[in-house]
Amino acid sequence: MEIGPIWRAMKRRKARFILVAAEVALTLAIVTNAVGLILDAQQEMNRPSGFVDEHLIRVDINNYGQAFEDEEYVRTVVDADTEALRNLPGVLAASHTHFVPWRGGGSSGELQINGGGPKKYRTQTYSADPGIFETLGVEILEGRALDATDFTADPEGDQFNVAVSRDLAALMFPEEDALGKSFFFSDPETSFVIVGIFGDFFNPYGWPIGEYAVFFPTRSADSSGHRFLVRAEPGQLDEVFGSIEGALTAIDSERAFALRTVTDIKTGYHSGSQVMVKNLNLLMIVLLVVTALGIIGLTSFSVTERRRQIGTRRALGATKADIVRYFLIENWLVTTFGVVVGILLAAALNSLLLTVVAGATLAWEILVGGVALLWLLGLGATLGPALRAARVPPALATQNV
Amino acid sequence: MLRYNVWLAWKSVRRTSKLSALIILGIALGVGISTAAIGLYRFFSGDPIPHKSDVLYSVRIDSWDPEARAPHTGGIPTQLTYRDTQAMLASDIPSHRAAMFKSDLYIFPQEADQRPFLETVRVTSSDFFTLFDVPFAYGGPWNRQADAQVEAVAVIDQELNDRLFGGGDSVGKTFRIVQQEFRVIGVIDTWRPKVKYYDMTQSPFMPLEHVFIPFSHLEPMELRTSGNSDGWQSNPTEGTFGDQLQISETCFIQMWVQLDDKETLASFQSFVDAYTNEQRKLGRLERPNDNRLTTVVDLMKEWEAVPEQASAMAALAILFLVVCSLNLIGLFLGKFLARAPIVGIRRALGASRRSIFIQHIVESELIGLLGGTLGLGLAALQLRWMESQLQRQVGIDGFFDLDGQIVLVALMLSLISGLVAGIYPAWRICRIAPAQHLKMQ
Amino acid sequence: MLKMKGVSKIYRTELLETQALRNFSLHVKAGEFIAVMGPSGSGKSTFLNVTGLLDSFNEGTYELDGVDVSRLNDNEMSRIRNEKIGFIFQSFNLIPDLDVADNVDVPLRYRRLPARDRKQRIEWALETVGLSGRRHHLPSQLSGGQQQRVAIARVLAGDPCIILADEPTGNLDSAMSHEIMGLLEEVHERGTTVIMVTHSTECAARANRQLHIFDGRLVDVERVVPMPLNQLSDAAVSQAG
Ligand SMILES: Nc1ncnc2c1ncn2[C@@H]1O[C@H](COP(=O)(O)OP(=O)(O)OP(=O)(O)O)[C@@H](O)[C@H]1O
Ligand SMILES: [Mg+2]
Repeated sequence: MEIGPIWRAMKRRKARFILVAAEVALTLAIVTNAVGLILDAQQEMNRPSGFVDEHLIRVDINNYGQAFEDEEYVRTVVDADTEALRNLPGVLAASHTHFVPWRGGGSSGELQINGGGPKKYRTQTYSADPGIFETLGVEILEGRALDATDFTADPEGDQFNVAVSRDLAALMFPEEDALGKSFFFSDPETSFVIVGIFGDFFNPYGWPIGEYAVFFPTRSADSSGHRFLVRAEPGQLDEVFGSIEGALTAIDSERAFALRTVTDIKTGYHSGSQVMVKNLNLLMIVLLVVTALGIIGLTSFSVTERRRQIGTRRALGATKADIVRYFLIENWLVTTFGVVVGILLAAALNSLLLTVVAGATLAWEILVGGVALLWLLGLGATLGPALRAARVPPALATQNV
Repeated sequence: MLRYNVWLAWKSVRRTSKLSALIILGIALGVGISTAAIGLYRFFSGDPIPHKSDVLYSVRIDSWDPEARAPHTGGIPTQLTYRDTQAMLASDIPSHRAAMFKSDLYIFPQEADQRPFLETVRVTSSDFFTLFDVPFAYGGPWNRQADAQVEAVAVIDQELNDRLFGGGDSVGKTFRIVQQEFRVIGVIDTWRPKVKYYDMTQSPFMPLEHVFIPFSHLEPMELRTSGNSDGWQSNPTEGTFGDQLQISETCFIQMWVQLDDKETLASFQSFVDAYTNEQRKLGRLERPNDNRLTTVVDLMKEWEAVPEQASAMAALAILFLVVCSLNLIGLFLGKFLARAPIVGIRRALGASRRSIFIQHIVESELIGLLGGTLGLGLAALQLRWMESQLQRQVGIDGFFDLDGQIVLVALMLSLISGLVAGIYPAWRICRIAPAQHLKMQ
Repeated sequence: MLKMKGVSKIYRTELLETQALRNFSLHVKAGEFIAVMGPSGSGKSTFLNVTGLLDSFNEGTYELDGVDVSRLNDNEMSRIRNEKIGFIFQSFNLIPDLDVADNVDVPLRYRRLPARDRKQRIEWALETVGLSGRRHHLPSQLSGGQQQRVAIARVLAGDPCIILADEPTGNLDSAMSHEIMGLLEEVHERGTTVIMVTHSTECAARANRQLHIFDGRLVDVERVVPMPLNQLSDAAVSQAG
């Protein structure tokens, strides 16, 4: 059975076929764009920080005891806490820092290169003790890690050693080696010398500076409290999580502790995207079901309406397979028409969405996949009614209704 | 006649129960999913204080680095410095004005056995409560005198009231914040704007604070913000906390004023501009004047308070509803045309085209309403499901509850899709010639 | 050509069993023109359905053109219907969405003939029934008689060895009937076997053998009929064309 007469017959019942084609077109547009959004969100969610997120615990310590008014006491407590945390069974490393991964923010500043003109570079800035790299599981790529001598440098001094992330180094010194170079923040008198370059580093921020970071070897503790990042040995996270509070309370009990795993923080950070992904998945599934039901409904209706015609065709020599083929070809033509329009619609919808959501571009692979999916969906939905059509007895042709 | 039509429609729905159920399910799914998405969008984008959003203005001053534009969305800092805030608070032009920031502070309950706990405190002016129409269960806000004299008074919400005092009228009772003893002056009744519009600097959906204390405590208590603070200069380190505050260029304070008409708006704008011109002469605020008074709704737009995902989902969901309507047109077409012989008889018996048309539109609207009601249930379920996933972000129970407007939206959607889907099939069927189907097939 | 022996057909519904054909035995030679007559509900259509492989039968043997039909599967039956049998129905059974040429084309498509061949056959068949000028009309744009002529063209194009017609003139007035009968006779003259159910004795008189069915039983009335008036049918054709 060729396409010609099927096509000519369809032209005489345009309304219903246009309906199905429009439905297919819109479905293709919606599904491909939804998949685009989902893939983008998933890529965003799967983006690695460069840290061993799954082994990390954030420990916030908030002091209320009077004793913390004394700066010297704060210093001793921080040292004692550091020692206690590092010695806890199951702990691989711990660092006194105010950096928290996956919080969706942090602290940042604008730096200028010494002797590099007025150009300013915005970067995330964090204080940390030398344990930070081992704690995060970040590699030193060039130079050296910060060490105890950097950490204990005179806070009144005018030069400090710092480590910067690889991307920040490349941004500041695209041509040269960043090691040994120095920069300053607003005050040209205080300069910071790059002694180490680390990577990978990614921490999402309100501004596009997720890959740029400077770690200063300084304390961030004051009378109100301080923070640690603790890295547990593989499989020891829960145990470590349970034992931290006891160990720290033993040092000073006049403070409150807030513990959260970095995995938990990360989940929270991504929960908006997560909800969107789930909702879009739901929408897509329901949409495909609705479209399939629509095709089944209209094809069934067509079959019922054309029973006599089918009987006649059978009487004139059509086999059951011929009848099934007829409906499949008819549907395939409609779907094909729909997907052609749908591709244009998908592109239009995409450019509309791009004004709202950044970066949700439509890859051609998704379109190809969508077209294939709708072809299959169309054929699948038609098969049932088509098989029912094939069961119409040829004797129906002779019945006078 | 309408009753007869509704009766005919109901009979037809019952007779073709399988197909009708399919159609109703189709409408329900379409209306459900799009209502949920539109509802979500509206939760995020709706005017949180519609009766006075046109007179509430946030105050912003471009106090950023003379050499560089501020990196914030609007191109100017989102918040004010302490000294600029002081100048703004001094103006009598606005009928109400409030400066504010939040600070994480320890609260010490009076009961000795209760451990102190960390609480986010909003440090603000007395006008906060009148500006934002905060309802009180007991007592009321402090007055401007309390602001000026740094009185140790606090407004708390029901939740903290329960926690500290076991609920009830706690006006006059005391509790300690850090070192300072505070007296409860008012207890807030249930108050939960969907968007935390008075402070969107971190996220428009942060939980509201449970304690409010006068702004003037900032200096003596040496309070620090736990919200965003943006600076382009290192903080001063010399001198007392107060001295540092007076010269700091760090922006951390949100400022709101109520300007009741166009004239007040204009005169306050010129007041702010005059202030910045003045400061420029003194060697500060070297950037050209870019001082902005922005309404709640405009600020939400500027800061893109609606998560981009919510907008994208709303757009897709509306298209989804279109697909469902197309689908319904097909199903109605099938349902109605299957009945063509009967309609032929009706026409032969004298039914007019109009009455046949109306009969079928009534039927599709009836089905639309049934589907819409079911869809509303589905939407409620879906929103509940989203809420359970966003608990941490939203932090408010019942954030996604259906309200009257959403119910209205859903019913409108179902009536519209019933109508859109019914019109063409009803038109087709009413054009059936009276005898056409009596003769053959 | 056609041999039936002891064929019975029983319709079963929930309520009752109808014995539509009882112990039917019949021998039809190639080139016969048979009229089948009988009261309403006697089983004429059933007989035609069984003969045309549109319906199965319960007992007996049936041999068509040397093939034992009861052994065939659905596909083989379809092929025989397509190649050896031509149907003409009382209500024409044209496909409403297809124009005249496409309607005539239907059985040829199922025979999977090459396009050139199909085109020639359609031309010739439409010419024979005098409807070449209406090639692109839809069935709904034709009169009843014209529609039946299209149905005959559909049969002619397929060049079957046996034509089964169930009251082909039942929906037509007498002038039209005359025309259709003329066409059938023309086909018959070219050697095609024709079996035609009819209520009209006038039509039946033009056949060369009559079968009568009463309550599912066959009464064979053999009678030689003088050849029909060729002039009349020719005139009708030229008139219609
Ligand atoms: N599909 C069927 N199911 C059940 N009974 C049937 C069926 N088709 C025909 N019959 C019954 O079989 C008997 C013979 O019917 P048939 O259609 O062969 O009669 P007919 O001689 O062609 O009558 P008419 O002249 O009215 O067309 C009738 O009693 C009829 O009710
Ligand atoms: Mg009959």
